[in-house]
Amino acid sequence: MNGQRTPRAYADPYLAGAGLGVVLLAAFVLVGRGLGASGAFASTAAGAVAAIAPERAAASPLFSHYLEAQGPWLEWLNFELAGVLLGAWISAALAGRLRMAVERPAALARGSRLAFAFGGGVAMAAGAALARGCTSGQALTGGALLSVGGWLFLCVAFAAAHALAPLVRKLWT
Amino acid sequence: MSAPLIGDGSLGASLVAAVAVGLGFGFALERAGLGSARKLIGQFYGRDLAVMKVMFSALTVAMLGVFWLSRFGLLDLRAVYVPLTYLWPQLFGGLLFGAGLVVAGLCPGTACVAAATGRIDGVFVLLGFLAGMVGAGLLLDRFAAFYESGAHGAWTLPELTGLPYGVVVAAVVVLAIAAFAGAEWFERRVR
Amino acid sequence: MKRQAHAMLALLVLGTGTLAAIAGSAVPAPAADEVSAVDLAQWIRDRRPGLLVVDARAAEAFDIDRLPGAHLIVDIDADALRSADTVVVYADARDDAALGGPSHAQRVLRLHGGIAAWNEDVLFPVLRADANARQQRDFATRAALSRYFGGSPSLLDPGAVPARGRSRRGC
Repeated sequence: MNGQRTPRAYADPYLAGAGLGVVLLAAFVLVGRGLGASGAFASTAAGAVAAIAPERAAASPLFSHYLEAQGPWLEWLNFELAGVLLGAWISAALAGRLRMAVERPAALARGSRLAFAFGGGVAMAAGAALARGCTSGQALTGGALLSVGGWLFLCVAFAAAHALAPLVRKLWT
Repeated sequence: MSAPLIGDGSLGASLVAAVAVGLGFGFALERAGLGSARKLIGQFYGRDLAVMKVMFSALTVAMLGVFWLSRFGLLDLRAVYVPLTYLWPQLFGGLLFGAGLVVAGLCPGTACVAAATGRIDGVFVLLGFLAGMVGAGLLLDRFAAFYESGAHGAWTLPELTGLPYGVVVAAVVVLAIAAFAGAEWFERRVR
Repeated sequence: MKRQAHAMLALLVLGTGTLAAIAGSAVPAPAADEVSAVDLAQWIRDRRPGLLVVDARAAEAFDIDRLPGAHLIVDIDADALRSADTVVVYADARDDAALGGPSHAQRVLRLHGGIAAWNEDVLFPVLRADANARQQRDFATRAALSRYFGGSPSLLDPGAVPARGRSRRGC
């Protein structure tokens, strides 16, 4: 799995992006909806909380959304995410890029990197919960459909990341 | 027959399509190298603008595809789910998300790609994301009014501006090409 | 090789984008042998001479709901057809209304979107509550047309209704 072949170079971003655009279009054509990621986690969180404290889950404006219709475990995005994991694995396997590692700058300890990864994840979840989506659901899908909220989220999220980057340089150099 | 092809009643077919679409999604992201936090973060330090190139290319291609399929009567736009607009939560949520993104180095989708290819940092981003979702879900009922504020339903830029859909599409295309040209110029200069 | 791919992609995107601006609407335009519901409404209101509106559905449907001044296709005789200048045929939402029979010298048009389009676009047009001033002014003419035919224009609060497209969804 590691070290036996030199990993292949990444694909051209424009071509990979165009390919991703075709995948997104296929989603619209097949099921009338786009891609997403955060919803799978919202749904899983909803299902987990509902199993432990059903009244709290039903009272949550976020969770209640996923507890209707087919329920949190048959949520479309859960299945899409399973596909993402598999597709990513296949691509990496073909390119010799499967590798157990903690991606970090050499100067940052593994434990610190993992802590920041976790913390960043928590902040992103708060943002995605409020925005009803993340970069895949709001920015990419909403953007392609010319959604006002999608474009707002896209611009604000990228502006915030760019603005904060100089302050967190220590994390990446 | 007009798209969307799989109706609301066919849950099984819809979920199979979900896996298929996800396969393409994960494959494309990994191909582009966006499963690597170090490559992804290059976007925000002006080293490697792949994130912008991949996202904007994908957005533009899908947007053009939607317009033309609809125009030729092959896709019924009214049956396509447009993500809803909530102005204030999306503004504030965007800020939070962007801050988290530059600290974590991966967004939820790319973190899945990272985790699937062996990167432990990707796994931790996902764990934090799940924990954050649990917390957000439990705390949001206190902010229910804010959460539902600025609601405009499915609202598109053509509806907001009153411009024809195709004109907005063209404007996005011009913006994308300009962004790509700018990115190429910038990356060459930095190198 | 990659530069060529990029150039082709850029040309394709710029080309289809420019054409999109020219095309304007994302909704399929009425074909050459079709007329939109709003145009037909204006013809009827303006008492366009020689206009004949033909309902190609079953008599039961005609009894429940029909366009003003429409005649059932089975009740049309050859004389009426010959003396009309413009014949507009309509059926349900699927645009497969057809007159059949011998070809006619005058214009025969189908109603784009059928009687469903008449109900939606003419009788019950909807304005978003967050529309801007110009959109409100444009809607005023549609609203007047709607009231003329006994319909009712309405204002929609987009934040309150369920999402466009299928039922509940998330990202």
